[in-house]
Amino acid sequence: MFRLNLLPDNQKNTFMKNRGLVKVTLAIFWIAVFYIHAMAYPPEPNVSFPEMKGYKIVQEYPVYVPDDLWDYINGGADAYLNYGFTDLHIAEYVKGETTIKVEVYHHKDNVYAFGMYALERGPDYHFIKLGVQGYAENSLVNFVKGPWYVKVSTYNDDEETGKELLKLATSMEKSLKGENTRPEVLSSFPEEGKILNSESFIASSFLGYSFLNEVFTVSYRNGDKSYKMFVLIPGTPEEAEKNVNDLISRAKSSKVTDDGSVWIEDPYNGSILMRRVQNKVFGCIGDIDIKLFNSNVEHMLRAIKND
Amino acid sequence: MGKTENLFNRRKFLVSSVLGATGVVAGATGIKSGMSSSIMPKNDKTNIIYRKLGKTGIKLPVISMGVMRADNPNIVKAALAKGMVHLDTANSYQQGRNEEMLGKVLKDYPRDSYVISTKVKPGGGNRKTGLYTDKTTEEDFLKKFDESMDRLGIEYVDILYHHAVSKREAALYEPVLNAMKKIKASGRAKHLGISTHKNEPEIIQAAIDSGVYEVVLTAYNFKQDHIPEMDKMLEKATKAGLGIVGMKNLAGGYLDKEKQKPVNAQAALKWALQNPNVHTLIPGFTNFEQLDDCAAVLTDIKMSSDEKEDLIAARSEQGMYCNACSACVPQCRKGLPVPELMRAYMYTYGYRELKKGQDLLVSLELPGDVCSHCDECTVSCVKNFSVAEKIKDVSRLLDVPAEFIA
Repeated sequence: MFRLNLLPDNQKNTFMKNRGLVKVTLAIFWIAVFYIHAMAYPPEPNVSFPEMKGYKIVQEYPVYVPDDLWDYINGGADAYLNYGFTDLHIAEYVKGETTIKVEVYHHKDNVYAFGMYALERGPDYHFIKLGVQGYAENSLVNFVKGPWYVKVSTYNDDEETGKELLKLATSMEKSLKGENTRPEVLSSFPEEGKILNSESFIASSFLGYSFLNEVFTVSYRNGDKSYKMFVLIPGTPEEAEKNVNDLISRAKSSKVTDDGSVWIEDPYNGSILMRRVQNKVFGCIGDIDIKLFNSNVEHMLRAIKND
Repeated sequence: MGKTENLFNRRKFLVSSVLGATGVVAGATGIKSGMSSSIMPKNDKTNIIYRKLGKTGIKLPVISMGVMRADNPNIVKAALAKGMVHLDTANSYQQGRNEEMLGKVLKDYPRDSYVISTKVKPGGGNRKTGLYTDKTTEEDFLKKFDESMDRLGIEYVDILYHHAVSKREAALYEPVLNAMKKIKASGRAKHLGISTHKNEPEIIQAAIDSGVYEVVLTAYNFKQDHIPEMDKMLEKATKAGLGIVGMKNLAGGYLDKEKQKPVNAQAALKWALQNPNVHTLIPGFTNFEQLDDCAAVLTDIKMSSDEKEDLIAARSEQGMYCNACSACVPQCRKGLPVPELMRAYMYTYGYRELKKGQDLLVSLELPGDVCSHCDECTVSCVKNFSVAEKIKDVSRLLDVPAEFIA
């Protein structure tokens, strides 16, 4: 018999008093369940692992979710949870003594997936064009595409397995739906002086302050000096102003510069230069050059407006 | 585009007492910013409470820093300035970036001014069973430790942990123990330890039996289901001379999935420190507010009545998550895979992932009418879950055609 009742037993008796009511209620319930499901996971969360000639696909691991990611990557889970982790799908490709593991971390959107990828990315890796970006090292290939952060790894470090690792990563990338472009805001940062692959997205507590969240950053060189530009874009100008004022309230000192930016001496982070324009807060830390900062802000504003 | 519109409300600025008074503002030529550790806000360190980490002889403040999530070096500097001494990281955190960040920070500090621990998880293990395989080798462990030392850029770590162990066999796995003993003999690790957040009592017993481990890093919090067992085991470990470091003390930090009900952090830390056999804790703070919260416990571990009540209330909040302790499995007369069924329940009701819930149920090849043949359920869940009810509820998902869900 076909039953469509997922309600707990203690709620069932009331429904059973009227069968007609039960049917209508269940129909509404299912519609609600599907609606909630669709809203909670806009992209299709299921992952299909592509076939690989000569390899058997073994899927012994459960799908990990935020509550049990600890079971899989222990203390490392915290960072993933901070970056909107929703679920992890794992498959192992086995051929004789060779095992290649594919871990597909699903994040709430492409920005958060990129942020997690960037957090773990080293500046000296061998970067490859795979998805939005990827890198290949001895026994691993990692890449990000849309809301997916994918890690393909093996314990065999011979050249042949290395090639197969890349081949598998490439077909995995093709099988995943998602955008192959960096988060849009990162394209607004100026190119001149940019340190290659320094783009990042900080999900929360930028500079160690709980009120500075969802911040995009890029690092630059200026001669023998270096600095970091950042931008955060809260929903409203009021929220943006609050962000700046919250930072000022914690400052050892602050001063408005001639061109309307604010120079903050932060007790923990040193000098910070910031400027709010409508709902955007631009900032700079490191070896600050006010003229260069202003020029960068103008560039970013033009780029954002042109989008 | 000309000069951009600036919408700062200048009246709200707290104009400088230092810069404003002196008129110092950075000019267009640029000013070197940055933060010297010597000007970080500091705590009065005279009242900091210290405990000795077992026979290692290391005296540590009761609060240390779990660096795992921190990506801002200034948080680490601030923690040291507040009087914390012990920094805990791992080979795998942020794929090594965490150790690199720490290495850069620590260049500015004398080696004897901090205590650092890192952890190595041997490769080749089966994460599902917690056991090692023939791919788990001494060489692999040594290689990973070398990576960690390169990133940290220091000559030795104070504690090297065998990371995330959940089975006695794994704790005593000879190739790993051999690698660790070699590292200690070389002087690159002063002390050896083991970390665990699953089957903790079993691992602590193994650590005692090993004669190799000197420190245990263990999950320990007010929400654990086996606190009496943990307390007994911690006492036993302390008597055996092991140092005990507590982690996961905030039990996830929130009481609900929506993160609307935060755990009272100070209360949770103080709770763990009421046990004298817990020597220090490693909360993983990532911002200065959290740091201040934790730093307050450095000098005051006495729990107020409000804090006690907070934790009592927090403990009564029942989560939806089964921690897969598996104590229920032998209790079920029908031999049902109860932890997996609870996982299916979590997918279905907790995350509304009906497809995952159904896929898991199908894979379990359950008998028909699960639980309907038992008059009384013999399973007694350590979390007080109504196991039979939850199984009955979730198993109905098997009746739903897959196309309705996919």
